[in-house]
Amino acid sequence: MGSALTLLSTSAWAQAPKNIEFLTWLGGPDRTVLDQLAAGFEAKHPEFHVEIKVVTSQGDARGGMRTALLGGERPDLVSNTWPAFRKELADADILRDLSDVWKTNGWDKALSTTWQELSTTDGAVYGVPYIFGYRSGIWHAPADLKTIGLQAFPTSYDDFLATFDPLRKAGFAEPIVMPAKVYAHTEWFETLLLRTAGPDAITDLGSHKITWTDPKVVEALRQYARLFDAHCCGDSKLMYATHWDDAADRVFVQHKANFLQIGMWINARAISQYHLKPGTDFGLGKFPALGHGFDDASIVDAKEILATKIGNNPEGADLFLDYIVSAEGANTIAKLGFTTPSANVDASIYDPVMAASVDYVNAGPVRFVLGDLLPGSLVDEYRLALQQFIGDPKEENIVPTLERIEAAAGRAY
Amino acid sequence: MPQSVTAFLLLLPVVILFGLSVIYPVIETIRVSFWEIRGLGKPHFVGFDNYIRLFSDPVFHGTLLTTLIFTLGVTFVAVAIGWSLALLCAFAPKQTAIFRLMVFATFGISEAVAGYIWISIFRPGEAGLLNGILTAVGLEQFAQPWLGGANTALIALIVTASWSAVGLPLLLSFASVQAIPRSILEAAYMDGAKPLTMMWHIMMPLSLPGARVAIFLTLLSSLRAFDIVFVLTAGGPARATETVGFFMYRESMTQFNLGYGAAATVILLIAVLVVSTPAIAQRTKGAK
Repeated sequence: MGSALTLLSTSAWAQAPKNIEFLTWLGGPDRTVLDQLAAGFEAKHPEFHVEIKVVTSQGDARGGMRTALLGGERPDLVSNTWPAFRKELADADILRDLSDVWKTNGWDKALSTTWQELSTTDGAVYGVPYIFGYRSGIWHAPADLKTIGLQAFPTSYDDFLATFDPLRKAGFAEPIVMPAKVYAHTEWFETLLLRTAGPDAITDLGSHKITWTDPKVVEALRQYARLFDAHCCGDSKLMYATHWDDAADRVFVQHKANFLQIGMWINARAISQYHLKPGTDFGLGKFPALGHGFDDASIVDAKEILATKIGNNPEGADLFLDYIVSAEGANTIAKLGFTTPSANVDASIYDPVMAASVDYVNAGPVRFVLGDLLPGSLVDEYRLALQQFIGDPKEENIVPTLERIEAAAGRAY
Repeated sequence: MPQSVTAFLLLLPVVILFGLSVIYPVIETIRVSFWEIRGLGKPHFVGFDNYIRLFSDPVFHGTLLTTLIFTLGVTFVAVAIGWSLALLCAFAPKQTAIFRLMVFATFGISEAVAGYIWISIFRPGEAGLLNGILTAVGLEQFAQPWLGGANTALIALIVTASWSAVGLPLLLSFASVQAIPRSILEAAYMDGAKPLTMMWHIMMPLSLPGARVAIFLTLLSSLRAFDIVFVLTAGGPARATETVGFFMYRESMTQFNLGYGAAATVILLIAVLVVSTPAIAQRTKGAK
């Protein structure tokens, strides 16, 4: 009897799945994606179990992730959405270089050169992006635009600015609802910077190869000021009191505002909370053209999974990353309402708004959200300086605003 | 076993717990304040540099001023209302028991929850309860984005924190009023004193000890305010409502300048000690 029990336990021990520890802060729909990817992976690889460890934090999740890592967590994989944090982790010798794995596993076929470049830090690639969001899109309700005779979203920046007065006359209090309570007021500036100065300016500014007082950046802030000159928004108090969810309500529920530039999570909110039809009741317009030669460029955000060298199961980690970029993994992500950079995805799964965002991103060069490229200590100052600028967006405040950010950049790098 | 040894053994678990949860973190915070720690990078010993930077940082100066205004504002409003209600309730203690319970209930709600309740009241446009009421009674010219203006946001914060805090001054002041000997009040009544006269000349002075404790405790808790600021305004707009507690959080947890945030924490600790030491010394002297 004793021998039988020993044999049984030995056999059970030998067959116990090997843990792949995955550290993340993500919750809600993003967590559902991870749970379903883990379930699909474990069904294919029963010898592994993905243990998702969640760091609870509010606001910027980097603080929680740092605390977990400094506190002794040894994950095989970590979630990330900030290129600057990827660099911080790489400099702290936490990440594992997967540059060779990309080639041997064929990830360079599933993910374009653009995505490989976006995933590279100091010449090395440490993980794979699995979700991206188009951040240069402008959410709107097509029916509201039709009240001023607009059958399609304006294509040029001048035409876009020219809609504000007619929209106000038609009774919309805020042509653009600008959620300036925390960070969303920077969305417009960043795409304007991309469209006026080009993708390299975003990269160079993010790494402080050019200064914030560079003429290209000055011109971008000038274009940003044009929005306010054209009476885009409510008064500064209203902008400061507005977060992105209030802003979305004002566009799609109260119909008191028209344009909102914020991430792709509006898609999920519009469908699940407002019960709107994508493409019919709400649309995503491509950021209007400025005519500087960069009008197909896009700002994106992305979620990636990075491999560490401090975990115990690098083999399992690589297999999980492989699953994520595979057709099965990519389709899982798409079915849950997210867009994935993997070319293995069945694009017919996407709804019209998601499909449009993919087309816009694929049309030209992409760059990460500038705020996610900046060191943590600079992001606050950058957002705050722009907040104060929109309180008085005059020409004479443009250079002082940028000088203030540059002073903070001098301390941060 | 000698009594002193027994006393020591009985106190030991609390002393250990206190040491681990209070003394050790304070010592560690003071230690960290002398280092520069940025993100996951290597820490560097910088001596008093963090403190020098802090005292020459105009952002920190603004934070100190905001904290002072917030602390004094909340203390004044919460204690004034709590004390006044206690004096009024003293005239009908049984009949006002439910009312006192309802007011005290706000003290039992966490500050974060209080913040979320009041966000829906201060929400911009008609979605906000306050603006909705103002519009409904024909005062729409007063409706505004309360959390969007520097002054209105700070007032909103003070109102919210006072609402959350008023229960304790009410409780302490009421207990103090109830401790006034009935014979004094009866004698005053028989001498023809009106209720207002009794309140002003007898109840208020004799309930001062309770009010003093309420002032002391409300001062201490509002000095350390963080939850309510985080939820209601996140220190905005443009840092107009950033208290020292929020400054500490922003520097330490979002920007991960742990040493700089720790230096701000030490400054706050000194402020709390400055406020609490005289009060504790006086109470100890009184007890002797």
